[in-house]
Amino acid sequence: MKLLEKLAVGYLIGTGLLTLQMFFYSLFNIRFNLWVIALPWAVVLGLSLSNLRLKSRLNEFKREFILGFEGPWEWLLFGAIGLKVLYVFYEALIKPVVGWDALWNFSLRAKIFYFLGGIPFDRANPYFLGGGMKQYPLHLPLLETFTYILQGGWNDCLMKIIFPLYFLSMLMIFYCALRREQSRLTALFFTFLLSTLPLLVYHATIEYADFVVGAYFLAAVVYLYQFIKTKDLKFLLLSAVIAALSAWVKDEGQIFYFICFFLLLTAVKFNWKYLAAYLMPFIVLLGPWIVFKQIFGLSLGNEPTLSAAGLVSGFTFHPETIVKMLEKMFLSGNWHLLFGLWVLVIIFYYKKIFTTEKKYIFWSTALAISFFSFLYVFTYNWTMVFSGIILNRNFLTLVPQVLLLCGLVYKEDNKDVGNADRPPAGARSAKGKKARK
Amino acid sequence: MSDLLAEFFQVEPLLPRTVNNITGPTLDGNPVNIIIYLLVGLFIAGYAYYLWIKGRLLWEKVGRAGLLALLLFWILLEVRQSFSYLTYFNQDQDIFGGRTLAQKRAELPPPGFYWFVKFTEERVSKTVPVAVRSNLDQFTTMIWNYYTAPLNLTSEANAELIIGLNVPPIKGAGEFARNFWVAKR
Repeated sequence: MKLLEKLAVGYLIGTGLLTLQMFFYSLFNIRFNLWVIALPWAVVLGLSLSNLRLKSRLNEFKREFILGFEGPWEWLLFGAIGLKVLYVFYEALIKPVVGWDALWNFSLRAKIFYFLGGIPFDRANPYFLGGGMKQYPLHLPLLETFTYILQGGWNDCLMKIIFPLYFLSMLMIFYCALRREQSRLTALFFTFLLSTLPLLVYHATIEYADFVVGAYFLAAVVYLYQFIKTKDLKFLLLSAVIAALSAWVKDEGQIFYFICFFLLLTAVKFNWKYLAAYLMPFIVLLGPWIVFKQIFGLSLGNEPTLSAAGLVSGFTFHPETIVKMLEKMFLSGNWHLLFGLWVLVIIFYYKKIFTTEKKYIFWSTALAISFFSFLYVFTYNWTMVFSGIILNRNFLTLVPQVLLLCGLVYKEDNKDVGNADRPPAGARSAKGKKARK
Repeated sequence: MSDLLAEFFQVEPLLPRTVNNITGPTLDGNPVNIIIYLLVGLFIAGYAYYLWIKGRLLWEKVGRAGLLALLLFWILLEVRQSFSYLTYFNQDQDIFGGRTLAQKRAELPPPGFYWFVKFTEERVSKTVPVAVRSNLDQFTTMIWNYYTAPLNLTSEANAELIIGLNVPPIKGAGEFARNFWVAKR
């Protein structure tokens, strides 16, 4: 993995573990304080500094992005992506919290945690679990709280830096995933396309969780795909940790985790070692939160009375929703031409998709769409599609994978393909000699 | 023609509902994607027919040409969207640029409401048990809650102070502003 990718993945995993740490602190009644929170990370950072090789990492970055550029198109695309990133940072940081769900849920809870110095667990307290949607996972509110602790004050403009950073991380992971198999130009082009999706760009400037969970889902799928290709356990663990953390951002993340788990199951065919390795991070990282929710009687998702039995008893069929969903995907949801591109890619490159590991990327998206389709076609939630409240926001969680698949099959250049995860040439030849013997 | 161009380049205002949907460009009231898909479909069919006549029909070649056509339209849509970003940038620079945090908050809807929040906040201690009666709309109440939290909220029976927001004052209430009063129990 390159420096760029490590930084992006580090942001996703680091913020997730940081907020879990804050959750555990509150469970043990330890008040939030910068030094108490930062101390374990300072130790980790200190230990990893010796292995940082900063100079060679920076040189590697220069070779990829500055010295390595060939021709004006690569510069142009890099510039266009850079401009969009700057725009997202500007729009996020210039205004305070504006989103409806942030005002009554995410950012309200963050403010309360900050001023109370922890999470109130007393049911009698009107700010029990910070108020808002008590059953929602605490990642985003706690991360916002951490930025207030870092600032030493309540500045909800500066706090919003976390969202552009997620956007940047998403672009970096997306680029590196493509770069492993494509030329720099193709990888840059599709990363540019990802940075053009209007709703994604808008969400990167406000305080909602949908695109954040999308960043985690993308990374989980990317590393699962990488594991299936290389059988390198490092990627399996990365995918497992990131998928588990996605459920700490939003409840949909649990579905995304099980989609990844199901894909792994089909790929490794009941190899218990791999399956156990994938389950472990979910149990360790998410187990306490799930047990906590059970103890406090908190439901899943938006609906306080939601249960599996309730879903079955409330089963309805609304085929008209399918037409509405297609209309939003292809025409009015303003995904530019993303889903049209997806359909063309599936039609014209189906062999490249379904006879290779790329099919797992396809199925990750298809299963996520199936999940949302089930919710909106077969349950009482169908009205939300017609009122325009949801769906596009749901699709923020899966559009990067749609584009990733298109980018991976679009054009397979043989020249200048990224080789970040290949062993060094010497090691390869030694391995080859051994094999020949 | 100029009307159609103006419609295509029309900037969609950023509203609370933008979070759920950005409608995207239209032509004559219909999503422009309909026309693009139609054109790309015709192009693919025409190109496939041309290659077939020449006896060189290759499925992937047709696909790549179709994708290129679609991507060109995508870039056109992005150019149009970039004008919107430029507009948003200018608008936000005018509204928020060079302002203090409080001034920025006051610019958010409903305009100026943050000054009212500050007014109420200065008159209510965070530690005193308070109850709130509100007749403000849901969004405005939400903003008030966000900016004043955490208050020491309790039921009216246990409250030392009762805060009234946009409701008729109760007996003995000290009025501080038209839409706000505080009463001591």
